[in-house]
Amino acid sequence: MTEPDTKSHSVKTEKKVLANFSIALKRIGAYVSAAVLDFRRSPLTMFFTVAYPIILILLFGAIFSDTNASFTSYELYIQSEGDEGFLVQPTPPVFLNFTNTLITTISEIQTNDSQPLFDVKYIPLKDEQNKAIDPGTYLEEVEGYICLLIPENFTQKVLFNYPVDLRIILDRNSQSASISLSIINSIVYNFNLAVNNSQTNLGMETFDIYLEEEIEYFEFLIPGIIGIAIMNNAVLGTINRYSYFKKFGFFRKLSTTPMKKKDIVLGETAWQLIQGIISIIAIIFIAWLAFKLPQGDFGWIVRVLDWKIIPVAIAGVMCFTGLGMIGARIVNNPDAGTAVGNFISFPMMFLSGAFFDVSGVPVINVISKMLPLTYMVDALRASMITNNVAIAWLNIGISLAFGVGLLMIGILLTKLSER
Amino acid sequence: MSKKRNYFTKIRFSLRKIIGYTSTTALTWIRSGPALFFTFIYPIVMILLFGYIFSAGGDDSLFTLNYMNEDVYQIGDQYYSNNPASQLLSKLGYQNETLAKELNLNLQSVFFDTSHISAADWMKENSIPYLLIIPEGWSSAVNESKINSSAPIASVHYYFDPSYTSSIEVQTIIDSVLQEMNLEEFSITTFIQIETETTPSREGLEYIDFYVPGIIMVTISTAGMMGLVGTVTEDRETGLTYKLSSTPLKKWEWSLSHLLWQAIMGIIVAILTALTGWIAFGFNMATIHPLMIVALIFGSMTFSGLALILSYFVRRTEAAMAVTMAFVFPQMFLAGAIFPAELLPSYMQTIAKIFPLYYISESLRNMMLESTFHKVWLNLGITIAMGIVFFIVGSFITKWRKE
Repeated sequence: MTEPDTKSHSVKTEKKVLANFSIALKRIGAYVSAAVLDFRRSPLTMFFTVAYPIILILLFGAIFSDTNASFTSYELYIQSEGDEGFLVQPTPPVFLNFTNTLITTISEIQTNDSQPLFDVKYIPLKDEQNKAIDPGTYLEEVEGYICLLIPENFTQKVLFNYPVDLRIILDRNSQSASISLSIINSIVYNFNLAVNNSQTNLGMETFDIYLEEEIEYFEFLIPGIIGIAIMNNAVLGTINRYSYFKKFGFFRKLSTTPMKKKDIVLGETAWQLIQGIISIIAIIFIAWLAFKLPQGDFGWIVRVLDWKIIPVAIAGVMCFTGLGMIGARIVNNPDAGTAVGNFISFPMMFLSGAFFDVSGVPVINVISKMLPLTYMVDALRASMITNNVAIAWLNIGISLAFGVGLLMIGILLTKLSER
Repeated sequence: MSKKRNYFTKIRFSLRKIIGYTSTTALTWIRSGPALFFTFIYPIVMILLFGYIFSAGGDDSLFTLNYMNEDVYQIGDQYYSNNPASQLLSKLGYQNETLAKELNLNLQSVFFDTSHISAADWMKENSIPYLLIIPEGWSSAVNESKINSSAPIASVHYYFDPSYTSSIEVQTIIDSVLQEMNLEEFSITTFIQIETETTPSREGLEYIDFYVPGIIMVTISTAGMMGLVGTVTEDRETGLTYKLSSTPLKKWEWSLSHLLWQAIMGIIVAILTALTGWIAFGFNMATIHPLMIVALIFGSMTFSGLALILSYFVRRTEAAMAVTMAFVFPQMFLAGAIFPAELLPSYMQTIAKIFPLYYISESLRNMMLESTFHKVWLNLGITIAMGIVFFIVGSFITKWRKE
């Protein structure tokens, strides 16, 4: 072959590749257009695809945002058997009543917003029929979770018959009771120091490593909600669509068209990516509107919109569309698709640390490291919230590796022909 | 007489049709192997997951506490091993597995040059949730305060990443160890001490006993609603519902068949969840009360009715999923079935009471104990009322027309 022949052959090959690529792009575009049209024709699907992540962000924002001034004090029930106090006779004489001191101390503790930390309520010693009231039973009747029992003549007992037991009855399954108990423990510790005329000599200074960035706790949940929205859309959407296609023979029909399997898969991935981006924008915008704008933080939306969100979203969509395809291969009808989709996405939602930290739970923390959502959430958190570039890229890399792997398995398992 | 007979015949026919349609639904499920498998494996996974995270796992939780001891306490040239810094580490479980387990801590020594990188940056770079630094001269400061009452507080430094909720638990552990050490080191007399006891009705019950009813209802509401909304919208889309309208099957019989199937599934799910909870975490089977079946049936009725109502507004299967999720998720988090409702802000606790799951879970929980049984009736009454109302409204508004 002469040199001009080789040149013309290579130009022809190049042209052919480009033409094939352009046709493939057209086919993918056609698949995406069909999906968009399908989506647009169902306003309710549109609404709820966006509404679902918005509901989640409003829900978690309202629970964890510092802006909500809705903290209700911990209800602490106290039953005191009476305290006559004690007159100490130095010069001048001092009247001590430790019961009153303790109750006053508890009542005066305030939160950072100057709200009383405890709502102190009293349990009477006797009822209307002059029968002794059992504090445990009373606590349950009033649906309380913790009560403090101060013994009779507490002051004199502390001075002359120590150590004195302060009984606390609590509902061990109540988180509020656990928090209240740790605060009361601290009060008692300081009380002991004060009676000893001593002070704390060993202390602890605490440092929030993100204090400078002024990150609120609910902001850490935003990446988790984005990850969950992408996962649910992609896993459930792909399983439902593919099982529906399979059931009604659409795959069979598509196999008779010039559409190739890779075009369908890439089209589905592109459509899931568009849906994912819509969800991301909706979540960030609503979080800003509901929780940051009222604080006058106009620039927050710009700070969290990092370009690295795009590769994370691509990796996430690849992972979950791949998982959706794997799930769709198992099922034959759309009803089963929902069950399989829930089975894949639901545990992952709680195991990935999107909502709460599982790092301290043995076994679960190992399982968590095997799930793609964990890395996706970590990558989003590092990109959007903590601005940790190294961690972001490490997790993006792992997410992409998961994405490529799962999508390849999904493609291999997807068959256009009828089984 | 013949009127009465006619009436009974009608009932018999209706019952036959209801059982017939329920059998068809059951057969479809049984024939779809994966659907059956995943529907039943779902509650098992849920109870294993939540049971492990919130109850069994809670006892075995080990928080890896990274620490850096910058303190070098020496007498002459000899390292003095019994210094306060070493004592603190010992009290935190250093080289003492039993104590470490008791405290839920796993100490791990780390080192980095603080003159090159700040502790915060080092933690960010290495994704470390919490770090304890015993600063240089801490032991000397502790000993100084023993002889000089006006000496400043000798503080260790605790750095934490607030995105890890466990950072508060670890802080509380270190704090209590420091308090204990303070009392010991400075010979402080204990005048008051705390003795805790559990509320009478909660004695002998574990966390898992409270999670089982919640998880049963979450599974029934999630899987049941999603399944029914999906089936109804799909049957409508494919014209099956329209075809059914030309058969002797009546709309209420069709609705009742769906309810019956949901109730059967609900009972199976409940049995599976309770059995898994018992085998894996020792769920107290003695807490099961026969009235729970009533709550389960009316609970299923409530969610079936809600599914029919949602299906009326939704025309497409994909939309059905989105709508159901938008309802099911807030309900799951707000109704106190998985997370205690008391953790929510007060206005959200009020919102929680809008969701049917709240009353059903509450009635199931109250049935578990004699001491709380008196609270059952109100919640069960609301559950029954909701079941009847939602089911009637759902059946009434369902239309059998071609889409």
